[in-house]
Amino acid sequence: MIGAELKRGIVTENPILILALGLCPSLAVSTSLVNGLGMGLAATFVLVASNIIISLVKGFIPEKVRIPCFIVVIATFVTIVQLVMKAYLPELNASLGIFVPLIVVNCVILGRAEAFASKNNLFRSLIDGLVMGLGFTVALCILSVFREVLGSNKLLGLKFLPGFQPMSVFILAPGGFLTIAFVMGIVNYVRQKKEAK
Amino acid sequence: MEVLKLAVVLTIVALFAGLAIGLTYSQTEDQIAFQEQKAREEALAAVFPEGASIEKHQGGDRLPTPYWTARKDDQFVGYAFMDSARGYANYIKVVVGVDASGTIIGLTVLSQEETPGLGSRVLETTSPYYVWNGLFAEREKVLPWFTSQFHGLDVREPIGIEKGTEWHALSEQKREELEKRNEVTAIAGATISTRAVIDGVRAHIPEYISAISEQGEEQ
Repeated sequence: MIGAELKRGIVTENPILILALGLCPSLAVSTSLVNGLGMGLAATFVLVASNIIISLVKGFIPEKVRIPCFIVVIATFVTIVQLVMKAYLPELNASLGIFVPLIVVNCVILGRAEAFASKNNLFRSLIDGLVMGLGFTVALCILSVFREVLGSNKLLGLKFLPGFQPMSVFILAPGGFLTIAFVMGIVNYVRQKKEAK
Repeated sequence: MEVLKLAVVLTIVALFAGLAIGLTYSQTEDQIAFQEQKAREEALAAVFPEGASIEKHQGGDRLPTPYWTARKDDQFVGYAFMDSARGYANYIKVVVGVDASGTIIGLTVLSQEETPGLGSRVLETTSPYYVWNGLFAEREKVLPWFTSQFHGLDVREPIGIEKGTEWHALSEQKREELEKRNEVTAIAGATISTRAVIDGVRAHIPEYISAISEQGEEQ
């Protein structure tokens, strides 16, 4: 069951590559692998924590105010992440900058709260948060490896290929769109081939 | 009645949220203050030569509070000032070390919120290693290349921006030419951040230096 859930989060329902949710932060932070990984893990923590709380309180929240309640829960966890990062990982906090507070408006998290956690029990919501967060992190890592190598000829801050002239456009937003489009295209191509069989 | 119920639910949710944030804040407050203090001290140590003894001064009329002076082997080394200028996303805070004649001896970016991968490269360090030989190698601490290129520039003259090849990829000879022209290279795709750092360096510090020399302090 865990294997099937993992496959759902990372492959068949990948939040970025298949559902195309949360593209804004993905474009912004996938410029280097360290940033992508840091953002992915921070968002995963928020996703798991908010899924747990929302599935616990879903019975008490009236339909009409559910969205503000979800946002308050998500924003609380984002603030907690930010404070903890400032205290213990100041370098990562400095390099992610403004994008940590913006996890609040990451639609992957609100999307899972609305579509999954508010309708399922605690355990299933926790697993959903975990696999979706992992899928988000994996997709961010794939994008950021391409962009860091092509855009600055580096990987993990180290030089990648001698003599390769990096293309700065891949660090800029247009390069982000191009990379997402290519990776999505490949994923869809593979998927269609599989379905045709 | 329904309105009342909605309001009560929202209040309860917000109450718990506030409680959780308050608890985290009180637990991390000291550690965050410690990290900020550490960053400030490291920035100051980085703008002065190693082993210099740093003294803090309360500014006055025309001087900022605080500013710092450094001595090494009983010789006066220079001043350090903290200033900030508007970057692309928010203010970029810099610590600038200058000697008595206004030549920059060190520069550190203390805080910035520029775009990751673009403006945030004001803090980028370059490594001589490749992925295959450097991943597990011992890494010595290097200064960011962008701020290193300010060494030896005159803070009282306008600092120009050269676009094109970035400083870390230039030959020693090209770097010297730039220094003679009082110019720095721009970060590719982030001219606004480049300019903001220059603004932070240039905006008030020439006035501070002349204020100090008029008062005849620490010469």
